[in-house]
Amino acid sequence: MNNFLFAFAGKNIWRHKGRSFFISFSVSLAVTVSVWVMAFFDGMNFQIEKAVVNTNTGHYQIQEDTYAFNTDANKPLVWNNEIKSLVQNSKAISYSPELVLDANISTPEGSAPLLTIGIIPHLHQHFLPIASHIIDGSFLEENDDDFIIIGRELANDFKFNVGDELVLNYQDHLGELRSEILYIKGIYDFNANVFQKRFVYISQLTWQKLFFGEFTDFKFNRIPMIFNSFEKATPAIEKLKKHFKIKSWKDLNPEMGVVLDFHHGMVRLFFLIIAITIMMTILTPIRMLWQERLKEFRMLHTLGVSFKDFWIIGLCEIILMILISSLLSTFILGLILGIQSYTGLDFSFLNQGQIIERSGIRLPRIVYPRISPEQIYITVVMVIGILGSSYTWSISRTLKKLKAEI
Amino acid sequence: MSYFNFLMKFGYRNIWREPKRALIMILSLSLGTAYILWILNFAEAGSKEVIKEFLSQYSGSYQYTHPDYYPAGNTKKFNAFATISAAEIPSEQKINAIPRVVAPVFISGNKKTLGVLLNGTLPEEELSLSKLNSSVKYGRFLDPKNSNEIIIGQSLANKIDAQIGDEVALIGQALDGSVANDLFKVVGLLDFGGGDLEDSLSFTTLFSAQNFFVMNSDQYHQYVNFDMERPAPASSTLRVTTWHQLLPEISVSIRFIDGFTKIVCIVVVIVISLGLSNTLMISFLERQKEFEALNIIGASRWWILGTLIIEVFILGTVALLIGLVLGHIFTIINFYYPINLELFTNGKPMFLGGMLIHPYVKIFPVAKYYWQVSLLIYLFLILSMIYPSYKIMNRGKNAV
Repeated sequence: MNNFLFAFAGKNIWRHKGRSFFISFSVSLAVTVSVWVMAFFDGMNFQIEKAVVNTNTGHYQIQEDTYAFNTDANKPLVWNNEIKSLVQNSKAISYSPELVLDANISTPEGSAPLLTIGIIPHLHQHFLPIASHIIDGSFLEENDDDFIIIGRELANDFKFNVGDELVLNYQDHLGELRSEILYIKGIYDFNANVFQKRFVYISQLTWQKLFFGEFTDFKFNRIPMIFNSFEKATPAIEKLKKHFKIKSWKDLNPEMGVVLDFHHGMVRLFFLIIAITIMMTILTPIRMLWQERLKEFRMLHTLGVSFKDFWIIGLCEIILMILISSLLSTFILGLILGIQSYTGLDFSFLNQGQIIERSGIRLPRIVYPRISPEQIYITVVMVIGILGSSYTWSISRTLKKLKAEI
Repeated sequence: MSYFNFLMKFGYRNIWREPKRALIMILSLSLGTAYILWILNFAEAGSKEVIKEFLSQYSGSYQYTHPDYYPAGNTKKFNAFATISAAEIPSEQKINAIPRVVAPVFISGNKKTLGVLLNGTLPEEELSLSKLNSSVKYGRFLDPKNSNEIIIGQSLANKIDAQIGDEVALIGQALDGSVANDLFKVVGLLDFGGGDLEDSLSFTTLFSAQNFFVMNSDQYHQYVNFDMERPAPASSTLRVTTWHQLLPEISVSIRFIDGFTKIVCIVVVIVISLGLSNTLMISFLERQKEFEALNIIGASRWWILGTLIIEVFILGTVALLIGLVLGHIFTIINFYYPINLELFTNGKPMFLGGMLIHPYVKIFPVAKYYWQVSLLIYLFLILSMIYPSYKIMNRGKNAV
């Protein structure tokens, strides 16, 4: 019996191919556009997050308490086996124990503040691909002493070359002003210009000798960590919070963190508006489709088809329309996103092709929408919600009218 | 004329023979129109409010500088040797403007020496034109009578270990080529909510800055204008830098949001048009027999099409008028009850250009959107008519 009703519903849809296609296409278009917007913002947010994480920030940072409060480098913690195993068990895919010294240089070309980071080279190479972006010279090695790696922008501004001396001015652990000579070992070209001008790298051996006067153990003021994803790191971070002060990239770069939240808010509003609009616009045609079959229903009812069966026919139509619309939406969406996830969308026209840097990162010029299983889920749920509620309302109104007539 | 009146009457009566259906159609088109009008007004007002809130704190709307002050047009670098004098500024441009001396220096506290941008300014003008004073959360603003006072960001103060009342050393390059260095007393701490500018800005009086950099009392780096309504003038011998050039990252972000809003509007109109087209098609096709009867009594296909176009035009116009009125009412409501943009960020504070901002968007009606939205709706109304009209015109071989 149900198979028959299902076939009956199918034929009802098929007998007005144009109208059914229009309704299905309207719903598919609305859903496709909504989910595409979501995919677009997901892609943009992912690129922004990646850019911030790659500014030597990581998804999360373990910070020594004093450093967390005022970036005072005086009380670093020892990078011992206990801490090492805690970090390794957190499932971070890479991490880098770092000592951080605020310094500056002053030359006839001008002066500039520098963030001088003492690293363990083999760990840092896994954490950030500075080593693979060296354009001149080479990256640091474990026992390098008195060598420094600088960015292209700093080298250009101050006319530095590999092998040149760089006089670093800073205040040591006692607050005494000091100036020390370091030799430029490599120049990197990675990230935004602001990053390249500010971030310089030395070995922990050099760093501790400069700041404390001697090297003892490997130590850290902070350990930036990269995870597979920011959200998935939450359980591991909760465990680490019992032992350390933890800051997320959103705490460290609040401006870009809020940009992401703002994007989420906009997408939510867009979904709401599109959902309301499409509901309002397809309600009338669906209702008309059902009401023009009133005579048929009266006849069928006379032949013995019950109201329950009418509901089943309606339900079958809903299921079929949902299937058609979901498949159509998923197909269009898959096609568009599939192409655009490779080609991307170029937004450089917004600023005449200039590279824009904001809050320490280079804003993406080409945005690659991101495909995720969640989008298919949202697509189907949205189609079910829109078509289900419109059909249910139309069926109930039509059957109410039928009841009144008989 | 009476022929047209008859067509109008005919079309009008056709609308009301299915009042519920007509009402739903009018409602969906009205709500769509109202939403589009409101969101466009919101986007325009939002952008202006956000920018106003941000620019009025520090950056100003535009500024006069020496053509070489920003080397190669890079507004993130400064050539402190390129100065201007008040005599070079047109007198009408001195209204709502503050002269500033702005150059990078190093600031040294108990623990650290960090780079910072020193702004020498006139405290009285700053109090009347900018909102900088509202960001001084601890201590006080600069006293024009005192020299060598400084206001720094709270985060910077933490890093260099300086408190209110402490002395900090500034080191920079004087314009006579010597090393400029002096002690300044911290009198206030700026709170930009932890934004980047809390680390990178500091303020002293104009006189103190000129003294520090060995400048004459009529030498400045910038003449910053805070008139948000007046467009930037064309440059003559000096360089005029608008906030768009000064802060391209903010300008691009605002343009991106505006562009996104317009795309949303187009999508909403397309979705409505598709639904409308479908409804019209069903409504026209269910009148097939009527049209045949009209043909028999002498009405041509074009006449029938004319009545249908008038029907849709009346329906569209009524919906459009209601939509515009609704959109206007919502706009006015949000003028008196501004929207807090933190609604979009789950209540989190908003940062722009390294500063905390609290934008309450007071939406105001923008005249151009009223006719632009009307044109857009009519355009899509015509588009939504094409397919149903085509079906009607091809409905019967025997039609006249």
